[in-house]
Amino acid sequence: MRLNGRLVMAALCACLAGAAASAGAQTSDDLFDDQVLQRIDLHVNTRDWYWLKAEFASNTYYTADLRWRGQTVRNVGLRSRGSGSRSAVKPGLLVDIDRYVTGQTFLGLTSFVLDNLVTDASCLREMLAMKLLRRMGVPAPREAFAALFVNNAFAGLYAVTEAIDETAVDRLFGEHQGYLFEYQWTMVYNFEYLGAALEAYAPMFQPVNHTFDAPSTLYGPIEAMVRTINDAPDPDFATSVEPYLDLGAFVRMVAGQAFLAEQDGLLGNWGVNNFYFYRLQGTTRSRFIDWDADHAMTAIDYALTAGHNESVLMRRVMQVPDLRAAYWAAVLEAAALADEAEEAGAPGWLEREVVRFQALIGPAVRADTLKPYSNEEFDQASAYQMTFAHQRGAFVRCEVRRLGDATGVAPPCSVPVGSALRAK
Amino acid sequence: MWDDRPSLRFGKAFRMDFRLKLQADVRASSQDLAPVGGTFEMGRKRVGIKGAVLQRLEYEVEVEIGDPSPWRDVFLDIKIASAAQVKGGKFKVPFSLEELTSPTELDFVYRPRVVDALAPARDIGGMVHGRLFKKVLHYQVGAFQHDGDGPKTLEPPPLVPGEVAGLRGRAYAGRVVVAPFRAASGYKALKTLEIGGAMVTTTVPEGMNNLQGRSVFDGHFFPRSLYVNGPRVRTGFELNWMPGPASIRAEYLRATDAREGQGVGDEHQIDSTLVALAGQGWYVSGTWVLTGEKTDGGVVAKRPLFQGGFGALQVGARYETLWFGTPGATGPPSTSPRTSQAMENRDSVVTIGVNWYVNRWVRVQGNAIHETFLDPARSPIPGRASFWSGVCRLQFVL
Repeated sequence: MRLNGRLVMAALCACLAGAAASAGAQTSDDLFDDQVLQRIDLHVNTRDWYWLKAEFASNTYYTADLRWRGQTVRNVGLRSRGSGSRSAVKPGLLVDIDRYVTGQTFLGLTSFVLDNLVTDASCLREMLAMKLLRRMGVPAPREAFAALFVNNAFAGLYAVTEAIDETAVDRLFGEHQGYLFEYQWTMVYNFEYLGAALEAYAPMFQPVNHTFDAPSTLYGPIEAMVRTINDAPDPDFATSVEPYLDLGAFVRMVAGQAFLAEQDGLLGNWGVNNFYFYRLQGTTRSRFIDWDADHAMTAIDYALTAGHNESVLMRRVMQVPDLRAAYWAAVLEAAALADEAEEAGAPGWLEREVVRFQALIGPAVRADTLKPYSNEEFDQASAYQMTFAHQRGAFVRCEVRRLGDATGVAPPCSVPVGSALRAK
Repeated sequence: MWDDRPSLRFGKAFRMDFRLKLQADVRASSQDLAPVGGTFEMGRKRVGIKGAVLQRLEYEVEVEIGDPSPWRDVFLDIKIASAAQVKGGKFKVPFSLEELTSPTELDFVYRPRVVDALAPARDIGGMVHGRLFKKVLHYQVGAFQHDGDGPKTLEPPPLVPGEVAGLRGRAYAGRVVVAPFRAASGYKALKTLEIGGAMVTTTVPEGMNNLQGRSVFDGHFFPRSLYVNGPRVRTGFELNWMPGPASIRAEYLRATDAREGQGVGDEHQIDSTLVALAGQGWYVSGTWVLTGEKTDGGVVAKRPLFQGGFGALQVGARYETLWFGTPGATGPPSTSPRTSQAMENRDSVVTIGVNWYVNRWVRVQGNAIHETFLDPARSPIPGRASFWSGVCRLQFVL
């Protein structure tokens, strides 16, 4: 066991050496470069680190120094984060660069997230899902795997994730002075109209910027959007909603999530969830930004119409022929991107990424004694992601054909015998 | 009997004077005064006794009426010889001329910010003191339970299970004042010149217990928000000169709070020790009694109001500054409680004052105060670097 441990750490160090070798003029793209395993060091007073973990449900900030590839950022704010992923053993972390130093940035960033990867034994779902969505042009955060060291001790494998703030919005939309909201799950909600009182929407749409603006400025356009989604006559639905919501972008996001079998997204099993919402500056028109996809890629045969009837927005979108066609086209595009092979018969892009990530993070996962699952569970879950990557595309294309079959007699699509349909 | 105040006396063997001190202030400021007591404040309301037994034992008991911690001076002072007296009880730690001056005898309504922030005030302890060389040298050396009831150290540290909170350490204080011309022939104008120095050391328990900077009306411009741990060292230098109707007074005070093990560490160590936090400042003040009375020993109107005169009128001005920061620290200035380099801030104050000594017991003071802060964002009026305040005090002392 001791020898194995040393081998694992040696392999981990070799991976990290690759990252360290590429020092020079660094940008945030280097931090989110998923071709290498990043190494991030945090130096925290031992008392603060103890209390951050002991009171992991609290959002109390503590002071830390951040070190990455020879760069040190002093006095960053550090706090526990997450909802279901909060942990006293391996805390998810928000690194707030300018918490204590006004105007301080790190590679142009004012904050980033260290995702503790405790809800996915494979550690791969979030990374793969976001990467595919970004390939589709869907607004989503950049991410890379990182070995986190706290006070010079290995603290586990994390995903360094771009925080959705004004900096990220600027990258995504070329502007940042609009209104950015983080969606907070408070109840099963599917864009039903909750009435004219803005207080009904405020708990769900928490402002990230413009936090001191009047409620009517913040939530008035959201109330108007939801009201229009519910009340617009069928023939005018798209033209009525478009001033409030970029429907084409919405369709591409839900199509990507459908391909990825995302159970906890815009059409999730528990209502809408896991997104940021940005209202473009000077307009009432908003865009969704994807967030937190650790419940994606869990079922090869996940239905492409899951959540369509429950969601008022999606139900009505699918009644608009152009939008319906755009949805199915985007689903097929996602499948095509996932299965994109370098040559005929070779593994698709998603499969290749699974293989590459497995090799990249394997030693770190095995060395991570704080993860809430065993190495065997990691191996099994990782193997399932390979199966998903290999088979989901074919299933999705079959389903699109079947659902488009006007005769309605096409047989149900299936996956090869022996394949695990669901992730454990 | 009556000797400016009620007094019990048995020859020279026993004396007990009954004391009463009342102060009432009317204040105005650009700063919102509502959180700090409003525009009218009933200041000190003190009663007490003070006296001597057999000319060898002096005593004093003074309480603040209506204060949950009412005891002020409560001490016995045994005079073995002029050069050796022993004082025990609760009294002011010997540090800072202005702090050791009775509040009813101050030239201005408020003590300088640097004195309020850095001087330790009263505590329970013992002290040896005396005067040597024909009163040319005055010394005070003492040990106290803590470092005074001025700056409180109350924030508990973030202990982990199994740890025990550190205790406030004892304070050790020493002060020496020299009047170099007191015994010299000639130099009459310089006889009242005094210069001195003082030091107080103690240990501050771990926690957010740093010395804090407050404006004249209690606005925090450098709050108690930094972790400190270890020795607190106060040093002070003073000058006092009262030639005839004039007076000049100046002090420089400095206090440092150690921050042992309060850092975040680096690749070589954990919980590093940070550069000590420092508070320092000085003031210089001057007064002039327009009606000619001497300032040495306190201004006493020669011709009190309704006794053939107007009383005594004194004018004065004071400039003072108080700064907090971490001299010698590296890294970006930060508001983090564990920052190496704290974000400095300074309060510079100009006070112009008028004192009207109506008679032996009544004094009216008026002060115009102008404060300027280095960091306007942390001024009592956020975003505003400077502003005026004013205060008028009516004082009755028996």
